[in-house]
Amino acid sequence: MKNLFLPIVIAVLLVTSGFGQTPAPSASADPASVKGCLSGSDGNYTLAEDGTTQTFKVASSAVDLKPHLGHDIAVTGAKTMATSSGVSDNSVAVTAVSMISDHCATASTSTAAASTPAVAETIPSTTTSTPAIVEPTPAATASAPVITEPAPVAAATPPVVVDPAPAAAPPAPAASTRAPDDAKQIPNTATSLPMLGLLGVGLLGLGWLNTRSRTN
Amino acid sequence: MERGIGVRESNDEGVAGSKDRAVRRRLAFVLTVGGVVLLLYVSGQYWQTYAAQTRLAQEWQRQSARPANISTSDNDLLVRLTIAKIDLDAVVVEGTSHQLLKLGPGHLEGSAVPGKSGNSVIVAHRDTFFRHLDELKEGDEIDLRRQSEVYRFEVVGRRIVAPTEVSVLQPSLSTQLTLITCYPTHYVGPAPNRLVVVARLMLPSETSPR
Repeated sequence: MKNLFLPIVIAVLLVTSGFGQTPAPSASADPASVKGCLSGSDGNYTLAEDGTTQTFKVASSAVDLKPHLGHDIAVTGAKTMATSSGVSDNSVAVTAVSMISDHCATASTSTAAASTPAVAETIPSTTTSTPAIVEPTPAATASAPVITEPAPVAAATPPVVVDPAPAAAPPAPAASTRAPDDAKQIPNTATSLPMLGLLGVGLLGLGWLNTRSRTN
Repeated sequence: MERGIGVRESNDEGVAGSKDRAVRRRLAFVLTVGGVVLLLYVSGQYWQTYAAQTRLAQEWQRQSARPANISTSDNDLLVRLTIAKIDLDAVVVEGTSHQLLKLGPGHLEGSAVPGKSGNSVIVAHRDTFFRHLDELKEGDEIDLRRQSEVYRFEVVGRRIVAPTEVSVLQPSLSTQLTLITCYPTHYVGPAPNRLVVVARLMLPSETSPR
């Protein structure tokens, strides 16, 4: 047993020193934006950068990426170029995302962007009598003055970097020319909490009634 | 003999009665526990909202106390939404996901920075922050405060639209604020429509001191 002790100690020392010499994953994080096609599944997203063959692992706790699956998007955040055991492991910790196109036709990005209709702003009519709630009709919408704005500049430029880092964010007016990320539907703002609360009160009431009928 | 049968019947009734009582007791217990659990869950959710708003308000105050000359991106600064008419005072969060809207009114990503040029869209739940949004009328004032800046808006109109009516989210050339919540606002159940309140930025000369 004593004979085995020394070789075991030496082996352990060698192994630990070997681990100690294993180069730690080199990582460099820099704030940047990446434009590309988002794919993957829930919690495990990858972004294939437009114009290059690079792919990035995309993670975010700040924004919900799921609605952008299959979209051509521009993400802003900390880009980490890491190399671990010779394998590149690029990732982006996303802080903001903006949709460029709802499909990933990278080859036709520029043409698609060029053919994107100008964003039309519909200014609500201030002459309508607001005290009474009026259901909007298409005619009413069409009769409102329409001002056209140029299409988002970012969508027309194929290069990789779309938005600068948050620290060097563009002035606010630039943001106003971008279309909202999820422009398919207005976000849902109804919750089930009031319903659950009512249900809870109802159950309590029923339980109390049941107890009363038992005691009578 | 008849007496014996009567005793047996009353015994059977007694057994059935005790079984019935046991079932009722269990049912009452299950209903009560279910009700308590649901109410605790709902209370927990509202408490989470309250705690998040308290935390955000502290952070907003810290940012407001910071000298304005320290350069910070507008995106990093918290915005406080105040509508005196409906007693609303809440800090806006960035994003409109289900989780974020639990914490406060959400600024629609991609829309203009609140108070800056363009259409800034803020969305909130109808059962919490925007419960009384339908009480806003033309001319009512809405304040947005970021750091030391105060942007005063005036309600210029409101509409009820279908969820697919995304024209209300489109960018604008003027500085505009769009508040959105589900409609009907005072209703427990599905919300087929959206209530949209549109406000425009008031000029300094138009604002009344508050």
